[in-house]
Amino acid sequence: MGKYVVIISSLFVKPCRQRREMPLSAVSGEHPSYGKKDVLKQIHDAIRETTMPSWFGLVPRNFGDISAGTIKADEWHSLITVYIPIALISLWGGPSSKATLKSILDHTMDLVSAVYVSCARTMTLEHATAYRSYIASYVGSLRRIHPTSNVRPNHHASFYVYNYLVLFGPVHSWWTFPFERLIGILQHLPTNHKFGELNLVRN
Amino acid sequence: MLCSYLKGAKLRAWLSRPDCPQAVKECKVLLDQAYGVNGDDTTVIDPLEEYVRPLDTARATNMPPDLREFVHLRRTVLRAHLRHAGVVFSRSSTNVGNSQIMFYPSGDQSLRAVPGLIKYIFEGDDGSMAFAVQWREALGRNGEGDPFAAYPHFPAKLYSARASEKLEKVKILWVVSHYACWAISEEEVVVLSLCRVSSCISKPRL
Amino acid sequence: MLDKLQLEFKPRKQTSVSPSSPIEVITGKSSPTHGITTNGKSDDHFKSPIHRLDAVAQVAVLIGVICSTVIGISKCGGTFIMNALSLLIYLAIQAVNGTSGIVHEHILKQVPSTIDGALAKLNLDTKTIPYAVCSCHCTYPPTYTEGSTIPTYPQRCTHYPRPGVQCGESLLDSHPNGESSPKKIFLYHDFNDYVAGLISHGDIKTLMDKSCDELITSLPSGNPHFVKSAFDAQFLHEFTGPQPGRLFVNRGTEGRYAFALHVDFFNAKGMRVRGASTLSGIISMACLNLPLDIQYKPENMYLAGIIPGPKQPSLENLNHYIRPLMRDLAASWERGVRYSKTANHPDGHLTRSAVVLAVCDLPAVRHLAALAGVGSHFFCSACSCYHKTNYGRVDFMHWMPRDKEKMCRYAEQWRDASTSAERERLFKEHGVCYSELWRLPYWDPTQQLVIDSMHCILEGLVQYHIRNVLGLTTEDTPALPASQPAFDYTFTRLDPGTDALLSMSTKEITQVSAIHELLVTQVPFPDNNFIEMQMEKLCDSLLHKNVCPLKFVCKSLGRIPMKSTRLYKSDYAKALVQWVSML
Repeated sequence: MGKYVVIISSLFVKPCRQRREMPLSAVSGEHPSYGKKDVLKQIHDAIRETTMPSWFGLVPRNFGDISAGTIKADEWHSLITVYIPIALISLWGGPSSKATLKSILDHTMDLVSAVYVSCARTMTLEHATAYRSYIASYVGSLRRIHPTSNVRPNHHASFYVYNYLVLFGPVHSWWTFPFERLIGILQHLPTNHKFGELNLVRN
Repeated sequence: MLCSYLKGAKLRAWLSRPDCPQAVKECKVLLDQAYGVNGDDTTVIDPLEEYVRPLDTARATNMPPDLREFVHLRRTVLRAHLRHAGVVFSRSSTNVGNSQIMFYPSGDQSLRAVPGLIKYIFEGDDGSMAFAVQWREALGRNGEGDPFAAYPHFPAKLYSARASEKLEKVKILWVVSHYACWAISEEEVVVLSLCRVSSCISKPRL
Repeated sequence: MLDKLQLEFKPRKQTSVSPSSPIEVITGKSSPTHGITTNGKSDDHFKSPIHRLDAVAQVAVLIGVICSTVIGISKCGGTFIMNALSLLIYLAIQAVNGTSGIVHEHILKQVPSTIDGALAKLNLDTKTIPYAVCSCHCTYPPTYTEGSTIPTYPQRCTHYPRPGVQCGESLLDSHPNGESSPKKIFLYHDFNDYVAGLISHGDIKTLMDKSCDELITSLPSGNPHFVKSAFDAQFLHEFTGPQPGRLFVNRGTEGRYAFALHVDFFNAKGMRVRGASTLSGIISMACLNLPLDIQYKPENMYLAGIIPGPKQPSLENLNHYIRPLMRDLAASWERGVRYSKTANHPDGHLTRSAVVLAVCDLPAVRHLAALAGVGSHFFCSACSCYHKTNYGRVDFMHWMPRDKEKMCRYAEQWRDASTSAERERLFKEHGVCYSELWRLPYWDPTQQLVIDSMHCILEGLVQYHIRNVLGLTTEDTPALPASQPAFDYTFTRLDPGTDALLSMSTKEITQVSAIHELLVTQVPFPDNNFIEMQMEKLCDSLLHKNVCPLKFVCKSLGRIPMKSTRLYKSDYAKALVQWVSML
């Protein structure tokens, strides 16, 4: 048993000594931190107090709570184009904000700007190029600013929205909102909940 | 499910045909009204319509004095709402959100759109509807120190919480869009244009 | 400033117009809802019997039809409505005239007494074809004996779900009266009938042709700077065929129609219902020739069919449901479809239709094109970026587009493979199965397979950013945050098509990146004891991986252990631990 311990120790003594010479933890500065509840409160205040025209899509006033339910795409659009940016800028956009919070804000605004540019009803080469720049900046900085986050397939796929904007024009020509509406109509049609049955015409 | 849907779709197609029988067309109007289908018609009758006489009649006391400089007829029509291109505009005393508009001053599209509040919706001398708008006062900072104006593709800006007393006549075609408004303090509000057509061609911040 | 972007396009396969004659569609008298042959007659899209009725009867018929189709009342309720309307009209005539004359009698006779009679006055039936569906998802079109409207189907399924293994399941249920009917039906809305309906409206037809004509007219002035629709954008300015070298939209005397295809699955019981769900699918299209304000109106959109549930068909099985539409579209492209009468061409008109883009969310797009799932290492349908570690690449100028011709070849090889093992090998090597979309000669998934921005950006990036990155949720987050690497190191990646990759299972391929992460893990506490413990822990973690990935990483780092006897997993693990120490 002791011999086994010696052998194990000898295996690791030299590696341990030399491992110590390598960085033990990442040298990217302090982790960003903010009060999540304070930020959510600011967003709730924005949702409650911002005066909007009647056509603008509503969002759950208790956004962030489990009880708010599933957030749909048009609600995410309302959140990311209006409430999230004005809440975050009001919190972290001032001259006295900490650098880390300002960088989180700027990074989020890359995504906000990408959404604005991509949803324009008229597309130009400048818009499409601006979109791709914002997405590259957003995806490229994601791990640096938020080290514990992951990149996902949608991050890669989002680059190709640039191609689609150039090839097929504004998103309104090729997005799935109208098809989702079709599904909504179908879901409200009366059915007998039996799949694939049909009474065929007989003579 | 497919058959039900296809029947409904084909019915809609029939009702939309220009060679549809007149009686059927009348039914379609009723159907659209019942199911709240919006149109572009600016002459939709507003149930809150008011008829106001100018000052030289017995009902003169109801005429808002600040509107007199725009109206030179003996009678005019004030509305609480107006629907144009499928969007509803309202006067600020009825619905603040629908009264918040971005517009080109004097209709000059070379200028930057500015925010204002619709105080009156009235029928002008030429019979067309127009808005009497109060400007949102600028902060006088020329955008300096405005954290909301730091992002070129995010159309937000700080303005004074106070609206001007002076009214400006704004034609419907000068209106760009509505805007969202959030009071971040007693003196300042953030105005975010809800324009769907992006006219911003400045370089993005990289 | 260039208006045209320098995207890397692959040349499309040039096809010539098939010498076969066009498909003839006769827009004549009504025909039964079912029992349609491929050269059959479509419903009457021009006039319906309601035009011959008196105005009073027209309104009565419309009230009944709206009650049935829009409000959704039952047949009995509908019959009551029709009879009540007849009574109302009779009483109104009596009240005004005291008695009813011949004209009034005539009007009363025009009002149907049943809801079916009212529906018949408007010709709302559309041409649908009932396909029998097997449990393996294969679909079979009906056949009809001369003079009969009763469809017949094969008794048993003859499909080979896997090479060499025939399904053989019974397709039909027997009834006590001796008749039989399919166990499951997939109803296909005939595409040519849909187009016939669309172009029977003069104003719609004019708008559809106008899109093509305006594009052709604008060509000399180059691509427009302000793009407002798909017809202003780059793809249709360059999309050629079926005549080689000639733009698709250069229609001449034909009608040329561009469509966006969409496939999705939904919970038939409603969108907010959670828990066990029954999934149905829809196959739909929108005509891009139409202006945006009417393009997406339900009456102008095309619903090809509803894929019956209760479950979503797996990867290649979706093909069976899209095959009828793909066959019609391929024939429309190659042969053309001649309609005997349209609103603007009473003597007949030849048309061709094409799918310009297929748009779905990210998982559905892979499913439709029969590509490896989004969670695989072949995570992009447009470029050759491979392995999950490359999700975060931003060097888009260096992304190599996939070769469309090769993808088509791999798909066909997969389809024609003689054994299941060969199919698995091909799929593992290329991440491609066969999709019925390849039936379209112009199909190019690297450009035409569009990931919907609504799902990608809003439900993808935005949702992830707000919930996970910023953590803006009141839910508790008990999971430990992922640790940050202690230092960066550019490890050798596994490339597709290499022997190293082909020798590993999917799990082992994933373990390669897990090993890379372990090797750069930070030491939580900078204390001697903890470092030693960390090294032991590293070795333990490495021993939980398979030998193939360990061997690959060792080889890529030049750290294959020197040992005369057989090498074991522990040897590779120790070599990697030593490598960490030798940096």
